[in-house]
Amino acid sequence: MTAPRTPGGVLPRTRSFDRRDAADGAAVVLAAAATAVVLVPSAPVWLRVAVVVPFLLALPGYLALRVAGSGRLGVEDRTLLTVGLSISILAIAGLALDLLPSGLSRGSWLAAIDVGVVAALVVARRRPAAAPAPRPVARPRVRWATVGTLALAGALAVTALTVDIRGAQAQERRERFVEVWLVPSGNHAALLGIRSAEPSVTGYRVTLADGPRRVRTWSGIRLAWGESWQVTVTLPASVHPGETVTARLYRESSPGVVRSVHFAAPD
Amino acid sequence: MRDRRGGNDTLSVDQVSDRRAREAARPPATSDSPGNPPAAARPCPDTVVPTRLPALGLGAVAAAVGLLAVAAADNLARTASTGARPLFWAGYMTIVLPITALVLFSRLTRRQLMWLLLAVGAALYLVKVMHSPLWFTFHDELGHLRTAADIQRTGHLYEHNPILRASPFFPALETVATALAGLSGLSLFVSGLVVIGVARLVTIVALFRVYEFVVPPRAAALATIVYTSNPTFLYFDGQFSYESLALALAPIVILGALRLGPRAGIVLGSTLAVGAVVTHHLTSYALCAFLAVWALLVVVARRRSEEARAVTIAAVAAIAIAVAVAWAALVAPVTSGYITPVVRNAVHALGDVVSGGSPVKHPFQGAGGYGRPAWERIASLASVAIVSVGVLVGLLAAIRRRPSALGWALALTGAAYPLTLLPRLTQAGTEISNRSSGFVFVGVGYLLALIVVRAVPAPVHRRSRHVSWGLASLAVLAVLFIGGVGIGWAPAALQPGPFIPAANSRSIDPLSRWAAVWARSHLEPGSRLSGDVDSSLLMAAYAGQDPQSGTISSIPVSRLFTATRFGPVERRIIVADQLRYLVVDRRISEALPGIGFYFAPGEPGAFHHSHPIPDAAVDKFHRAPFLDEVFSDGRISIYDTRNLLSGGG
Repeated sequence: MTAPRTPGGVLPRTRSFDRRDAADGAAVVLAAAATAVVLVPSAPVWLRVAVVVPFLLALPGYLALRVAGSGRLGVEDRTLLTVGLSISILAIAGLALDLLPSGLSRGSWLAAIDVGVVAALVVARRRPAAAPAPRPVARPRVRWATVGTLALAGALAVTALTVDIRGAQAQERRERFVEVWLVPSGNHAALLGIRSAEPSVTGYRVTLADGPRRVRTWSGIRLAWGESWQVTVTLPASVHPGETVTARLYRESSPGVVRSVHFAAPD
Repeated sequence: MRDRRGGNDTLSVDQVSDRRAREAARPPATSDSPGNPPAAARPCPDTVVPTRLPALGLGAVAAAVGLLAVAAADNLARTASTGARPLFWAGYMTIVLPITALVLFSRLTRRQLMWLLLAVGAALYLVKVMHSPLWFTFHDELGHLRTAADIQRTGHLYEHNPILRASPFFPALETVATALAGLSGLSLFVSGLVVIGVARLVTIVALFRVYEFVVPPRAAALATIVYTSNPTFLYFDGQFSYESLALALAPIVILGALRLGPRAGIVLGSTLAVGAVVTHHLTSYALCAFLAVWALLVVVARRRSEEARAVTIAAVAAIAIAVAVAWAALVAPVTSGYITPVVRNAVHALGDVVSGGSPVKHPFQGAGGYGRPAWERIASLASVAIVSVGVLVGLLAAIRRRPSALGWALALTGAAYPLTLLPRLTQAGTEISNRSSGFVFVGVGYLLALIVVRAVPAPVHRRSRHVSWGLASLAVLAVLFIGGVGIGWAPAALQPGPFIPAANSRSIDPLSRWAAVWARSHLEPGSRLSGDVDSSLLMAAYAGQDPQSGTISSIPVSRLFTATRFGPVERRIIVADQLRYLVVDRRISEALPGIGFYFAPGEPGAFHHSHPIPDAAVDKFHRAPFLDEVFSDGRISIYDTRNLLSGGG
């Protein structure tokens, strides 16, 4: 029994053509959505990730398969080729974008992929329609035991990652130290700063001395873990070129020098 | 005809005729397990009633429990607590063995097999992520981070990379990662994890699909599992590195040649091959060699079923080779300068050993006293022996099967394994042997799977002798997994832990990383500096600096840090090499180097250090004239040499 034809002799659109149209439409929507979320500064990161990942790692490959005509492929092969081609196309596109003055910037990526989407779909839809794809195999029944165990596995995996990340963060904080720096900056000036990796809020005092003459003291600097303090110091004219300028760090709770750094005043 | 063996809704023409040809060449059909009808009369796997167990769910739960154990083990290791290593191995085995047992003993559909492989692949990738979940700590990762940071900073490719000179010229990984980071707002670290995570999963499934063209799905799954036991799979090929991405693309090139029509196969296959070429040098060369051998075998075998593919395979191979040669010659000539010395040194070292001029390298020579427990060494040696013997037996099994050209190409790839062991006789060749396993094991998996499925045909009945064969196979695979990791990764770096000087990931700790982050915002980028190997690595990766090592005016730069006095020679080194900054980590005076050297493989005493750097050597800079100590955290100091360089001293 042959498929019925319209009076013009054209085959009516079958369900498989609608699926391809839907896929092409989804590609356009994905490209538009990715462009929108990237350009909107307030878009949350999770939304950007959810849209940008398929935009980069699936869309180019899908379009390449559409244009070249992939024939009949199973889900696994189509997915593998889509991802592999996306990566390859991005790599090749990057080589091309490098030749432009704008280089590999956010705008150039968006423009390149969006233009690619339009061009690829124009080419793909001009090609004669392929024969309808065979009907898919009936999907296996969802087994609740499998769903339950998969959910348990997912929860355990997330727990494992959380436990591990917390352990790594704890190892970060286990190291107790404080950084101090004194870097010549421009003409007769210097950047003086400290950054704390002490587990609790700690009070510091910093002195800047040129030889035996104390130039300045900063006290009451209270820093929590990860916080830093920095000032730009203008050296007084009395500091001669070659004279040593020394910064000393003290904890407010004790008189001893914790750390010192120095440089020879520049010419 | 509907047959799931090729994995798709319909078989392609060559699969049908190839299967018929194989069956015609076989002796009269026999059952491959007692009580079962012959293979030709047996229903295809996907139409068989699957096992009643929720195999996928159970496998995933086992993998997740293993992950939990590894996470706990890593946390114990971070505090140097006892029990860290045994718990790690227990977790690792819990990830791989239950899933392997399910594949061996249960009757599973190909979809179930594939999802179980995805579960084990994802779990093994998460083992690597959990090793360093906050930032990159592996040497090559930091090298690629530098390339990616340069692309983000400049918007262009091919910036100089002092850590991995070839990396900027094979920029696919960094291109994709920076595109993802730039568009999504993720950090480079997280973007890198996402890209490599996707690559890992793709590698697993792509290999499974390629194997399915030469063996049934169960054997294909076992071959893929064997592949994941190779020494580089867990950490080296799971890191943010160009080889990790290229290994995902390579099997897809093969799959494209097998599954796409002639025109699409050439166009898209070539696109994939070009992608592989601009991703990683060695992987693309291995891919080119494989495609060339495969094309030649297709022509030589003259099987009607494969002739339709011959043009596609040959065309993709030719294009891949042409692009690889052109890329290496025109864009990345640095590649030869990068790879050639490694190969040359290994060949010379091997020649010295063969001629008796040098002794054979002691296996498991743990630098810095960080050796491996005896049982791990035994497992590593046993894994090498098992694979070596297995490859030979598998080769015989493959010959008996009269495989397709693809099967022959895989068999030849696996047969190269014993040759890759020779460089291990020397220190210089160890790295070559390690790196080759990621390619050679594609064939090793195929050959070993042939043996296992013959010994343990499915389904395995509870009381049959195949149960003991199955348990033996499981034990053998356990040895492969443990031994593989033992061969491929330094013992001190297997898990995170307290700081060890010059020990790759064990030397990347908050102090050294914070110092590098500070340098990024306070030191002139691109400045020449020197320090121990890992300080230099971090300064290059995070701070965009240009670390120097080796020799200058025939004096090793490392003398700066090993001499106990800061004298004229040290000043001459700084001036001659134009070193603007010195990074001094006093902790190099507290322990021996984890990888055998503190600064460079060629430093005096490398791989034979018996004492740490003297305290006086690292303390001398504080009192040295004409050196400005511009940064200090108590253990790491950064010295500015501008006064020396401007003529002082």
